[in-house]
Amino acid sequence: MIRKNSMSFRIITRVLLITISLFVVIMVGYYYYTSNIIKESTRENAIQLAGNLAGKIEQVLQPMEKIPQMVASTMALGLFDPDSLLPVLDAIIMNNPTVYGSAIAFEPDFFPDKGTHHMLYAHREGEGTQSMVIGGEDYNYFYMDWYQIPAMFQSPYWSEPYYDEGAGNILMATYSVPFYCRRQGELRFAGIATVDLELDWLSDLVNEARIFDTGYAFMLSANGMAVTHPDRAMIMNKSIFSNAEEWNAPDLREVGRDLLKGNSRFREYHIPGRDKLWIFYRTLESNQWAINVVFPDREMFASLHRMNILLIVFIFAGLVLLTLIISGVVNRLAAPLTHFAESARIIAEGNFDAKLPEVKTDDEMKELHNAFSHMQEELAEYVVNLKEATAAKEKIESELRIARDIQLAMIPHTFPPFPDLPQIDLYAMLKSAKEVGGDLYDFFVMDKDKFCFAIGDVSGKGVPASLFMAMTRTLLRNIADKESSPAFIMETLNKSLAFNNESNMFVTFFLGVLDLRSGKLSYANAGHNPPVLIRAEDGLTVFEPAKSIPLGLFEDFIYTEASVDLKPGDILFAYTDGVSEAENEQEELFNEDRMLEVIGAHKNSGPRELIGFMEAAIETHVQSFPQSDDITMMTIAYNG
Amino acid sequence: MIINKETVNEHLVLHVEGRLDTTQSDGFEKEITEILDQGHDKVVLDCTGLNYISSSGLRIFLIIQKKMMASGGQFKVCNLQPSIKEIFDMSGFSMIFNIFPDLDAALKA
Amino acid sequence: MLLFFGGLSAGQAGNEKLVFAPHWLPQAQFAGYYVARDQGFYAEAGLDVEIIHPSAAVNAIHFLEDGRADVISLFLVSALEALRNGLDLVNIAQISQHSAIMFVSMKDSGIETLEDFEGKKVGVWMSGFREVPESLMRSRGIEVEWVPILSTVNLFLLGGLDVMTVMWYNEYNQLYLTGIDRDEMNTFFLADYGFNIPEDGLYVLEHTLEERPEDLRAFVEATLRGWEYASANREYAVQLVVDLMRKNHVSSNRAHQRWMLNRVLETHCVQEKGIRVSQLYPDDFHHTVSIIESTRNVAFPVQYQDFFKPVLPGIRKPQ
Repeated sequence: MIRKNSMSFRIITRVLLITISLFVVIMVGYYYYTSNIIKESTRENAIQLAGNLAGKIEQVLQPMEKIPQMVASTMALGLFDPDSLLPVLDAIIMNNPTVYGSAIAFEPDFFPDKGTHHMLYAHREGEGTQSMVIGGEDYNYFYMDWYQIPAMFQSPYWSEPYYDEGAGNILMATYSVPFYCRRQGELRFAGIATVDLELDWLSDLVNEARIFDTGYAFMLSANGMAVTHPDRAMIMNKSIFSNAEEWNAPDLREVGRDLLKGNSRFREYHIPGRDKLWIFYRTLESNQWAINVVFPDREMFASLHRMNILLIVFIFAGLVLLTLIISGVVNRLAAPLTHFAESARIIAEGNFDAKLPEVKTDDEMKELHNAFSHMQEELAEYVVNLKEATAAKEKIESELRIARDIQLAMIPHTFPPFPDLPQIDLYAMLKSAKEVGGDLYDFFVMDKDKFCFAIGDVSGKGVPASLFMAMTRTLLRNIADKESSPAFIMETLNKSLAFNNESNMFVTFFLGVLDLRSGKLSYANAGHNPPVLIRAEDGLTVFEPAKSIPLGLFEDFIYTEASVDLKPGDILFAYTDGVSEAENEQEELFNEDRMLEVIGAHKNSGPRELIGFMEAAIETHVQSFPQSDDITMMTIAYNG
Repeated sequence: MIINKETVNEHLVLHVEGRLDTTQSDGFEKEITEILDQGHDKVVLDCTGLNYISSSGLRIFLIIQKKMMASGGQFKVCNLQPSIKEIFDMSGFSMIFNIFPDLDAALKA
Repeated sequence: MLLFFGGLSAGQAGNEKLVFAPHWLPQAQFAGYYVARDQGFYAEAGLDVEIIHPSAAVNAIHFLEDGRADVISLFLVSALEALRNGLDLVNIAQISQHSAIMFVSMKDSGIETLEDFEGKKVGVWMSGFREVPESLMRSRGIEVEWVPILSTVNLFLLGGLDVMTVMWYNEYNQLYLTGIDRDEMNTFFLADYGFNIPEDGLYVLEHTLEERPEDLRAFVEATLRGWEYASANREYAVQLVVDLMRKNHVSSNRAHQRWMLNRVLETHCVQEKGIRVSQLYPDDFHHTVSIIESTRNVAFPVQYQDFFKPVLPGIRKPQ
C-alpha cells in the first residue's frame, strides 16, 4: 500500500517516530509518577494496617501487663502468708481467658522455712485451674529468663514466646514484673510475679489481615523469631535471620537488623529466585515485637501494569489509526502530484492540452496547478511562434534554394562545354559556402577564334554577393558581346558596377581572351588571385600579381591588360581565394604553396582530374570544419 | 575583433586585433562607422594585431577610405603583417591605400 | 523399603534393645545417632536402639543413674565430675576431639582480650560448661563475675552480660541468627588459650560394659558409621535433625542446624586432618583431670585406663 520511498511513507515514519518518542517519554513519566503514588499509598495503607494490628494487640497485652503489676503492688503493701496467694492466682486465670498461668516466684531463701526455692503457680486445667507450690533443684527457676532477666534489670520483661509442652503446646509468652516486700521496715526485692499469656489469638488476628492476593502480615519476637506467620511451620522455628540465611537473602537480614533496632520503615527487598517484595515494619510499644506487612511488588503494581498494557494497546491502536489517517490525508493531498507527473509526461510528448488534475484547495497544490497551467499556455504559444518562425525560415530557405538554382543556371555547367572546339579542354566547379555565393566563373566563345573566360570573387557572401555576382555576369556577357579587349571589357564592366555602388561591394576579376589559333592569351586582372599556368614544358608559372584594383570601386579606374602565349599542352588553373584560404579547425589555411604542390604533383592530369585532386586535398586539409568561403576553380587546357 | 582607440599628434589611431573575416566584418563595420561619424581628420589604422582579412574585410577598408576621401581627411594604414600585405598587393589595394611600414612613419607623413 | 523402615521401628524381634540418651535436646550435635538409626545401621548391627532426650531440668546422667539409658553422651568434664561424685561410668568412645567452647563479647563493649574480662559479668551454663572456662580464667588470674545461665542467650542480648560463654557450633550462630553480624562480635576460643579439651564422648556404667561388650562395640561402630554418612550427606542429615526437632517441639531451622552439623563434624576430626578416631588420648585426659582438681581444689586420683575403656581398637593420635 505504502511504497518505501513515497512521500506518505516518509511522513508517516517521521510522525510515528516523533509520536512514539513522545509516548515513551510520557509513559515513563506516567509510570514513575504513578508507581510513586502507588508506593506512597501502599505505605500509608501499611502504616494504617500495622497501626490497627498494633492497637488490637496492645488492647490485649496492656491489660495483661496490669495483672502482675497489681500483684506486685499488693505484695508491696504487706507480707501475707505466701501460700494464701494461690487463690488469687486461680482468680486471675478464671477472670482472664487469655491467661494460661500465673506465678509468684520468690528470691532464694526468701522464706527460710520453705527452702531455697519457693514459687506459687497456677495454670488452666480443663474448665478449672490447678495451683501448686513448686521449686527445687529440678526446677531451678532463678536461672530462667522469665525470672533472671527482670530480676537482673529490676524491670518488667516480656519473655521470648515459647511453646509450653505442659499446656498442650500452646504458644505463650510470659510477662514478668519484679515485686518488693517490706522486711524490717524497708522495701526489698522479693521476687517476680508473672502471667503466662496464650498467643493463639495473636496468629488469628495477624493472619486476618488481607493484603492483595498473596500479601500477608506476620510478627517477629524481639530476637527476630517468627511469632505469627501464615506458614505455621515458621512459628518459633525460623527467625528472619535464619530465613535470610536459608534463602541467601542479605536484604532480609538488613530488614531484620533494622526492625530489631526499633525502626519503622517501608522498603523493598529481594529474595533470590522470587519476585520482589515490599515490607513495612514497626514494633509494639509493650514488648518490642515487630509487626510486619508484606506486599508482593507484582500485585502492588498489578493495576499499574494492567493500565500500562491497556495504554500500550490503546497507543498502538492509536498509532495504527494515525498511520491510516496520515496515509489517507497525504495520499489525498499528494494524489494531484501523480496526475501532474502524468500530465507533464503528456505535455512532454507534445500534447499541450493535457488535462490537469482538479485542485479544489487553495494551497501550494493550487499554485502548482496554476504554474502548470501557465506553463501549458506558454508552451503552446511558444510552439505556435516556433512553428511560424520555422515556416518563415523554411520559406526563406526554399527561396534561397531557388535563388541558388537560378544562380547556378547563370554559369555554364555542361562539361565538356565545347565538344566541337578541339583546341580547348575545360572544367570548372563552384561550391558556395552558403546557398548562394559571390564567386563566379564564365566562359564563352566570342567569335570563331576567340574564347573568353573569367573568374571572380565578390566581396562578402550570401544574397548581396550573389546579386552582385549576377549583375557582373550579366554585364560581362553584354559587354563581351561587343568588345574583345580584356582591358576595355574590364573598364566598361567596372564603370557599370561602380556606378551608384552605395554598398561599396566589389568583385575581384580575372578576364582572359584566348586566341584559339595563335594561343595568345590576353588578360586583365582586377585584384584577383593570379592564376597558375602549367607549362607542358617548363612547369608551373604563377601569373604576376594584379596591377589593378577590383571592379566596382572607382568608376574611372583604368585597367591594363597583358598577354602570354600558350603552347599546346599548357594548362591554366584559375581559382578564388576560397581555395588558398580554406581553413581547418586549427585555423590553418590551405595556402597557395600547398595548392601549388598539388598542381605540381598532378600537372599531367586533365582539367577535370586536377580539380578533383585539388578538391580531395582541400577536403583532407579541412576535414569536417565548415566551409567558410565559396570555392571556385577553373582549369583550361590548351590543345593548340 | 578588438579595437583600441588612441589619439597621437592629431591622429586618431585605431589599433585592430584579431581576424577580420565575414562573420566579424559586420560588427567591425558598424563600430568603425560610429567612430568615423564623430568626425576625425586623420585616421591611422594600426594593423599590428590583424591576423586575417577576408574580402568582406577589405570592403570595410574601402568604406573607410571612401568616407575619409569624401570628407577630405586622411586615412593611413600601417604595420600590415606580410600575409595581409600580400593580399593587399594581390588585390591591387596597395594602390588605393596609404600604407606605411610602421606607426611613426604613418604619423609623420 | 520394608527392611529400611523396619530398622527404625523400636522393638524389632531378635535385636538387642539398647537405650541411648544424648546429653541435650535433639539437634545436629547428635546427627550421627539419628542418621545411624534412620539408615538402619543399628538394626544391621543387631541392635534395637531407642533414643531418649533429657531436658533443661533433667540431665542425661540421671538417665544413666536410674537405668533409663544404657549409653549416654557427655562432655568429658561432666563425665569426670560424675565419676568424682561416685558414679562408676566409663568412656567407651571419645567422639569429639576438640573444644568448641568460646567466649563472645560485643565489639562495641571494648572487651578485646581475656584481660579485659576482669570484673565483668560472664555468662556460663550451669552444668558441664563451667569447669573449663573457670579453669582458664583462674590460670590467668582473672577475676570475673560468673553469671549462671540455664539455656538462652537472651540475657546477653539484652546487655545483662558483658561476656557470654557459648559453643562454636551452637550459641555463637544463634547470636548471628538474632541479627548480630559476625564482625560485631569478638570471639575467644578456649582452645587457642591451651584449653583444647575434647567434649562429647559415649559413657556407660561399668557393669554395662562388662555385661554387654559386644552390643556396645556394635553400637559405637554403627554410630561412627552414622557420623560418616551424615558427613557425606549433610543436607539429608540436617533435614532429619530438623524433622526430629519439630516432632519434639524444639525450635529449629535448617540454617542453624546446617551450621551446627558442619561445626560439630569439625570437632570430631583430629587436627583438621579429617580422621575420626573415637579415642580419648591420655594427654587430653590428664589435662581435664587437672582442670577438675584445680577447680574443685581436690585431688582426683583417677587412672586413664580405668576411665577410658574403648570398645573399638584405638589408633595413635596423629601428630
